[in-house]
Amino acid sequence: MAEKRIVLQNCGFIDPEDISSYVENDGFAALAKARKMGPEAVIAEIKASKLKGRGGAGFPCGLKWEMARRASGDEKYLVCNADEGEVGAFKDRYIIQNDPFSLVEGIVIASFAIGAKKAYIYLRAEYHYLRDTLKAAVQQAAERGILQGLEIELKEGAGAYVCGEESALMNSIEGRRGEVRFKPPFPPVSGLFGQPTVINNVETLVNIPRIIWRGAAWFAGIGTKDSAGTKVFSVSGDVEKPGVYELPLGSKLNEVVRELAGANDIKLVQVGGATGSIVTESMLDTPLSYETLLGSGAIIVLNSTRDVIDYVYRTIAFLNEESCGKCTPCREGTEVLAEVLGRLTSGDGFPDDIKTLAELSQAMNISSLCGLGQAAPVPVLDSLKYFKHDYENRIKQSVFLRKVGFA
Amino acid sequence: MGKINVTIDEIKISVDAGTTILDTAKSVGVEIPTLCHHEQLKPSGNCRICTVEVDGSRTLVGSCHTPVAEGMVIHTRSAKVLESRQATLELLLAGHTGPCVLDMEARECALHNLAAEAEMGAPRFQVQNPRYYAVEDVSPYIQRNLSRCVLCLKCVRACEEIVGQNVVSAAYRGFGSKIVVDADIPLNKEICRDCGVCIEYCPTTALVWADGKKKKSGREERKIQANPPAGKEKRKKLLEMLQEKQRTAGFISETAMREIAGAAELSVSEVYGVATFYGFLSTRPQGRYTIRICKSLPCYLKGGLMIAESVEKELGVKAGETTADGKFSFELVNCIGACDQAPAMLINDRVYGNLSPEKIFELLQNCL
Repeated sequence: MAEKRIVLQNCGFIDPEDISSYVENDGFAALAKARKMGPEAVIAEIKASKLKGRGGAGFPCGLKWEMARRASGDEKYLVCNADEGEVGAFKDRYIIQNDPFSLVEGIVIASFAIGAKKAYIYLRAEYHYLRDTLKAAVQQAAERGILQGLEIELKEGAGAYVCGEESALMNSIEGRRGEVRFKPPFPPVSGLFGQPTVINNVETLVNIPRIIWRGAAWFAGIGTKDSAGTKVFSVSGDVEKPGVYELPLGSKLNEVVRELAGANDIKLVQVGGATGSIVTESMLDTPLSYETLLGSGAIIVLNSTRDVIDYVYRTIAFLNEESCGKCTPCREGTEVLAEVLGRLTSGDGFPDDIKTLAELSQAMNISSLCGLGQAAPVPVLDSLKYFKHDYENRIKQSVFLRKVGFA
Repeated sequence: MGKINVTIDEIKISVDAGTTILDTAKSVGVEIPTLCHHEQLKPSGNCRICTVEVDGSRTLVGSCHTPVAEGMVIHTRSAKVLESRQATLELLLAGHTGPCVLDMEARECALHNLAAEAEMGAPRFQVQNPRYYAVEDVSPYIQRNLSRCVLCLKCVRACEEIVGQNVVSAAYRGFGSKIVVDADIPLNKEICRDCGVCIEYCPTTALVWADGKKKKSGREERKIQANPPAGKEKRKKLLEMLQEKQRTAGFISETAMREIAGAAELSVSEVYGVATFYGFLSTRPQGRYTIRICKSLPCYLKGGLMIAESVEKELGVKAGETTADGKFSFELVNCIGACDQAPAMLINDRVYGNLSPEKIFELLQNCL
């Protein structure tokens, strides 16, 4: 299966530092069209395209815009979430590095549609080197009169994975600790500084000019019934060709990891980053879509030599370090999971460990405050589902070694 | 305001729009246990003790902060609710040091009482490093024992919302979160006006009067003056001010924090709380070159830890340390989004990918 480049159509074909090369490639034509259509028609077009959020949660984009447009507020904000912190995700970096202008165009159209006079780009601190690229792109667009009164401000993160979660991101822009907020109220009703706010991922926004230019029907015709368009995947781990690949939604995992990225020995694949689901070798025919599995599109491949428990431990240790610490289940739960998994990794397991992991994971999954805490135990639950033998054997080994005095 | 019809534990009721699930339950005599909630404070939703099941929702919802919606069917005592509450209580108990059950003052602790009501035994869970903080008895009036704190943020909210001060703030992150005074110093009478409001709101015995008692010890009632905390407009600039300091000075000193607090019209504890939350802000001096090696999965699979070892060997410092000459700081960090070039690292703001021990040697030689 070949790639289908829609989001990435300009990557490699324009000069990321020079707006004129973007304009020559029909750049900002979609914006001109959007301005003629008017905000309501733009929102209707995006709704008809069935575009869903590409950051991981998959909320219908047009609906989000409509909620914000209809909400009352002194001011409205558009926020571009460029806090790509998910483990194994680097597609937004790739987009900004190669085509920052499409992102600017998407931001201007989105702001026009919802009625925002101010837009923020929240860029993660780890991507500080992209700051000048983005600033220059915004500056060049402003000089050409493209922004028409819209102010685009670049805000930099300061090193916190959780700030990719939209409520934590807003707290961070407000100069606070990046702790999550409870919902409702949802951001389109009351978000940044208590005003109606739309937060869209980089890839979502880059899809906007494409949809406006070529029409909702064209876009909705790509992918599956409930997953329209393409998805940009970041593939890494035990593969020959790690990198960014764009395919129609509904493509099989096999096509990405085997045919494109060149994985030839697969024990498991984690789809969606640290909080993503685990897929085993026998399930590689699974289509990648919102109905099945997708997340942010981060795909990490582990080969047959990898230790599942060690991998799950590292993943949970990451989430333990990155939990904002506001709610009990995530703050304390990731700590407890790390304790159990750390022991199991070093061969110090106990018969109750599997039960403890399963029960705690279940509770965290339904009672944590935000999506991060709720999804944190997913790799634990999935690995218990597909690799329970590994856990059982590790515990038996531990019990035996203790019995003979080796632990 | 319109009326909303809901069903709560089989009881049908009609309440004003905007009413929370918790208040709706209360109005029909259904008790939902709470810990971080107080009707005089803004809801926080952090403890997750009051979560309930709502038909159609995959996850439980916090009853103290979720308003009812038309047709909502709520279950406050379903198996899902009780099991998850038990897990949450056990998590809070597990994070403590010392056996609460043997504590003579434990009856004054709301967490202890909730556990007793749930007829719980010892928690199933264990943490890696139980919290232990020395008892703070510097203030002649208020004693803080943070080993008993459950991070419900009631003291933080009471100090801000009731007293109009911001003496205490949440600092650090995740399991390491802690309620701090100033730049994490013991509570003292220079900083705190010892009105004792926080003691009344604290659900545990983390905050008590100097005599160790929870109840007021015949001290005269102080009139509480609620001034809205100042500087909310300037607050927007706080993170940028800290980032600027980090860039120019290489770290954020206590003096810098005091200056920034003054400029932003915030308390030092608030500034400290923000500064210690973010991984790229440092409260200790950093070297001229900060080396950040990614330890997350994609880099780990490609030998990231081996790269870390060669940096350690080359520089003679461990992760988290700075070389004696102040030239290099070395950190192990989480995913830097260069997984396609794993193993990768950042030296200051630049990415270096496809690393090998040889390449590390070469790069460090160039910096020297």
